[in-house]
Amino acid sequence: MIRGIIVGLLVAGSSVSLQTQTKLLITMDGGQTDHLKSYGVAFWLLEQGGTVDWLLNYRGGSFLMDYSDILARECRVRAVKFEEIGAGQAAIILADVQRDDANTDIVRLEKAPRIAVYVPPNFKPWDDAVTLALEYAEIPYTKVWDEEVLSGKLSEYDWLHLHHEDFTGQYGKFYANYRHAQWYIQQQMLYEREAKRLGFKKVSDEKKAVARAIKEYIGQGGFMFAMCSATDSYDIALAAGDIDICDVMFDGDPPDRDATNRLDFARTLAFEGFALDKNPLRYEYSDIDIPTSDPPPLRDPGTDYFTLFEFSAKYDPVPTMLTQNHVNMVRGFMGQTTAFRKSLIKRTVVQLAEREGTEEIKYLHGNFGRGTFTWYGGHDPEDYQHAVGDPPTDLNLYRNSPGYRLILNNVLFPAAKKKQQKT
Amino acid sequence: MNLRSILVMVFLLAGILPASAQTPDATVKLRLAQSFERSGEWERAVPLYESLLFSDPKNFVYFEALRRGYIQLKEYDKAIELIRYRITLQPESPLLLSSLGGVYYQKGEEQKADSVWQSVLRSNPTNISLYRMIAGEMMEYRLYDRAISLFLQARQATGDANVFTGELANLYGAFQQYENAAREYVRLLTQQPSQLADIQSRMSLFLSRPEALATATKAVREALDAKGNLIPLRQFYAWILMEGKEYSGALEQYRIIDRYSRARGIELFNFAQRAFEERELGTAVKAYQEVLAIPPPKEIQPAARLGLARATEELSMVIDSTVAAGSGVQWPVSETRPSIGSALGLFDAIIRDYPGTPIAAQAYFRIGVIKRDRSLDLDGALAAFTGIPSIVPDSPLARESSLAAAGVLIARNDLKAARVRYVSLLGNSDPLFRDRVLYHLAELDYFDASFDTSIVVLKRLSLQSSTDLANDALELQYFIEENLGAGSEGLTLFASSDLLMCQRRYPEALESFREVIRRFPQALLVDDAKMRIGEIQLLLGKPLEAVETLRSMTKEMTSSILRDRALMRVGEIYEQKLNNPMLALEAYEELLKLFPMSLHAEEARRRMRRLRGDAI
Repeated sequence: MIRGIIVGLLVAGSSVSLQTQTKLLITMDGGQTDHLKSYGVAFWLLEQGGTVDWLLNYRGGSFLMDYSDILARECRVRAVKFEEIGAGQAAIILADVQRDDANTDIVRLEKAPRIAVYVPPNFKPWDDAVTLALEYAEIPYTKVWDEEVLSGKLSEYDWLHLHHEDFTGQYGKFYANYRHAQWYIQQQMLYEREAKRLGFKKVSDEKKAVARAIKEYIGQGGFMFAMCSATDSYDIALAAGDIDICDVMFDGDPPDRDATNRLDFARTLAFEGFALDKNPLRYEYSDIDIPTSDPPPLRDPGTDYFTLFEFSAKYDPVPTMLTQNHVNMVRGFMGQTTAFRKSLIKRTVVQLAEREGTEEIKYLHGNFGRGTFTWYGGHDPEDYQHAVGDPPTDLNLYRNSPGYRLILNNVLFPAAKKKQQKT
Repeated sequence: MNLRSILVMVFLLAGILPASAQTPDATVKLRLAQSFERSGEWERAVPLYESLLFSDPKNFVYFEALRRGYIQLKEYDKAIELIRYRITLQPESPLLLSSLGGVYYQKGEEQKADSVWQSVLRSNPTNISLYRMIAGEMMEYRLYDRAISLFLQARQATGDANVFTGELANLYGAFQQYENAAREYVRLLTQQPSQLADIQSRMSLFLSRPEALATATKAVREALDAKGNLIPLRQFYAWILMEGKEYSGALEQYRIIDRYSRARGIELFNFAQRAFEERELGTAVKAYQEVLAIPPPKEIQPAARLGLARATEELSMVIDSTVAAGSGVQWPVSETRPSIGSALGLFDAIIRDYPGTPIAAQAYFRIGVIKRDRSLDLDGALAAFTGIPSIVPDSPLARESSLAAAGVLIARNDLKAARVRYVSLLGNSDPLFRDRVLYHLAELDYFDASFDTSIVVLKRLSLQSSTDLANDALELQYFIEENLGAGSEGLTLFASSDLLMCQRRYPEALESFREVIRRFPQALLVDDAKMRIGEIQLLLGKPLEAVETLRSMTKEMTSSILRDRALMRVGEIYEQKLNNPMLALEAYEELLKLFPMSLHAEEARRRMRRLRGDAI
C-alpha cells in the first residue's frame, strides 16, 4: 500500500527530470474533450509501468507524460485531447510550473493505486457516482463487502470508496416510503442473514464493526473516499459504539432512550456535537446533513452552485490535488446527505468546498493516523435530485463534468510519490 | 413500589373487585397516556398505564399498552412479569405465550424464547394456526431462518407437505434460495392451478439471474417428470424455458400441452406467434407447420398459414445473409432449408385458398416486397402491389401498396406513371403519409432536374423537424442548393446517375458517375460522385476497388468535407467485407488522427474498441 504521502513538498522540481524525449500533454482546462477519460489514460499509463507528472493547477491540472504512439492511440480511442510537444517546450512548461510566484507545482504519479469499492452484492435501485466514474474512465476496481472488510482484506488496497451506504443499520432510513418494496425487503433480509453469518445478532452491530475496521484501515495508511450518506452515517456509527440507535423496525427492538446524549465524538473522524434524528419515519440520520433531506428543500438547480477553495499548490499539495478543476464554481446536487453543517465539522478537518454564504460544506478532507479521508456531499454530480429507481447517469453526456472530476482527483491522489516537506 | 408488588396487588384486587366500566377519571388518564405514547414519551406514558392497570387489572387495552411501553423502554423483565401475570388470567393462551417468547428473544434469552414457543406448539402439534402465529412472532423479530424451519416443522408434524407453500416460496425467493423457491411454487401450482399467472409474475422477479434460471429450470423439470400430466405445470415449465430463450425445448412442451388439452393446435399456434415475435424463426416455422398438420380449427388456419409464410420468408433472409457473410451457419441436412421460393409458394397458396380476403391482401404485399427486393422481378412486384387496394380499399395496407407500386414504377424508369400515382395519393387524410408522398415527389423532381420545384417541396418538409423525413429532406435540399450555384449541368448529370443507382442499374450508374468526374472535375459534387462510385463498387462485389476509390478521394481531395466519411467507409469495408481487422483499425485510427471532431469519430472509436477486444 502506498502510505502517508502527505509528508509535504520537496524543493520544486527535484523529482522531475527534464528529458529530451517528446512529451504528450493532456490539458485539463476548458479545451479538453473528455476530462473524465483523461484520468483513465493517466491511470492506464501507470498500470503499464509508466510515470505521469501531474501539473497541479496548470491548465486545470494537466498530465504530462513521455510520448509514444501507443499512448497517443489510447488517447484517440478514448477521445482524450492531447498535445504532442517537443522537449524544449516541455522544459518551458515545467519551469513555469515550478516558478515560486506561480500557484502551480508538479506531483509525480508512479504507481496505479489498487482500488476497492465497498458495495453490496445485491441489486440496489440507485446508482453509485464513483462506480460510474470509475467505469466510464475505465479504471479497474474490486468490489468488497462486509466479510472482506472484517477479515482484514482492505490492507490489499490503497483506496477505498464508499457511496450511498448506511453504517447505522437503519437501511438508509427508507422505511417510511419503501418498506413494502421488494428491493427493500430483500435487502433487509439479506443483510440480516449476512450479519448472523458473520456472528452478529444485529445488522447495526455488524455495520458498526465494519465502520471501525475501515477506521483502522485509514489509521494504517489507507485512503478513504466517501459520498452521500456513507459520510455522516459512518461518523454516526463510530460515535454510537455500543449504543442502540435503531428503532424496532430496523433491528427488532427499540433504541436506547438516551442515545444522543451518550454519543462519543472522540471516536468520529469529521463531525462532533451532532444530534440524531430519531424518527424512524424520517429520511434523515442527524443534523449533520444540510439542507435536510426530509422534507427535501425547494431549490432552483439553476442557481445552486458550490465554490472550491483555493490552496497553495506548493504548501498544500493534497488539498490542491483534490480541488483542482477547470472551473471553481461547480453545479450543486442533492443527496440523502447533500452537504455538511459547518458548525459540526471538527477543527482538524480541511474544508475544500462550500456553498457560499451558507453553513453548507460540500467537500472536506482530513487525516487520521497514517491515512486520509475525503468526503463529498450529494449523490450524483450530474443528476440534481437522483431518486430511487432513476436510471443511472450516462457519463457519455457529461464528459467534462467538474463535479465528477472531483471524484477522480481522489482516485489518482494515492498514486502520488512521497515528497519531502518544503521548508 | 416495584413491579412485583404492583402485580401482586393487582392480582389480589382482581379477585375482590368486580370488573368495572371505565370511569371518567380513567378515560382522561388513558387519553393522556395515549397522547404521551404518540409523541414517543414512553417514560411518562408508562406510569399512567401502570396506574390504569392497577385500577382495572383485567382490562386488555391497559395490559397491551403497558406491554408496549415496557418493551419500548427495554424493561424486558417487567414486560415478562406483566405477561406472566396476564397468563394467570388467561391460562395457556397461545397468543400470550407467543408474545412472551418474543420478549425473551428481545431480552437476549433465545433458549427461553424457543422453549416457550415450542411449548405452545406441543400443546397442539397439528394445529397449523399455532405454527402460523409463532412464525409471525418470529418474523416480527426478523427471525426468517427460524420461521422457515418452523414451517417445515409444521409439515412434518401435520403430515401435510402442502401447508405454508406460499410463505415458504416467498421466503426462499427473498433469501435467493431459488431451487427451493421453485419447488414451493410448483407445489403451490399443483394445489392451485389458477395461480399460474401470479406465480409467473412472482418468479419473474428473480429469473433474470442466470443462477436462478438454471436452478428453477431443474426444479420444475424434476417436478414435471414426477407429475407429467398436469397441464399448468407443463405450461409453467415451458414459460421458464422461454424465459431462458430455450424455444425448441418450449416447443416440445407445447406439443404435449396441445395434445393433452385437446386444443387442436390452438396452444401450439399461440406459442408459434410468440416465437415469431421473439425472432425464434426456426422454432416458429416448425410450430406453424405442426399446427397446420393437426389441422387446427378453421378460424385460425389462415393466420397460421400466414405466420408460416412470414416466418419462412424471414428465416430465408437470415440464412441468405449469414451464408453471404461466410459465417458457416449450417442447416440440418435432414430438413429442407427454407428458401425464398418456398415462402413465395406459401403466399401464393394463401391467395389461392382465401381469394379476396384481407389475409390474401397481406400475402400479395409480401409477394410484392419479395419480388421487388429479392427476385428483382419488377413486373411481378408491380402486379402484386396494384391488386391490393381493390381487396382492402381505404386501408393502411392499400396506401402502402400504392406507395410501393410507385417506387417500382421509378425502378422501371416510368417516372411519369410514378408521378401520377404519387399525386393520386396526396388526397390521403394522414398528414405524415402525405409528407412521405411529397418527399418522393421532390425526389422525382430532382431526378428530372426540376431542382427549383424540388427545393420548394423539400423546404416545406424540412420544417417538420419532429419527423425523420425532415433529415432526408434537409440533406437533399442542401445538396441541391450547394451544387446548383455552379450551374445545373453537372447536377443534372449527377441526378440522372443517382436515378440509375436507385433503379439498381449499377454498371450504368458507375459509368455515369465517372462521366460526372470527367466532365466536371472542378465541381463541388466530384467528391460525392467518388463516394457513390465506391458504394456501387461495393454493391457490385468489388470491395478492393471500393477501398481504392475511397482512399484516393481522401488523399487527393484535400478540401473535401467527405474525407472523414470516406475513411469511415474504408474501415467498415475492411472490417465487414474483407475481414481484415488490422487494416480496419488503421483506417479508423487515421480518421481519429485527421478528424478528431468528425461526426464519425464516436463510431470509429467504438469499432476500434470492439476490434481490439476491449471489455467496453
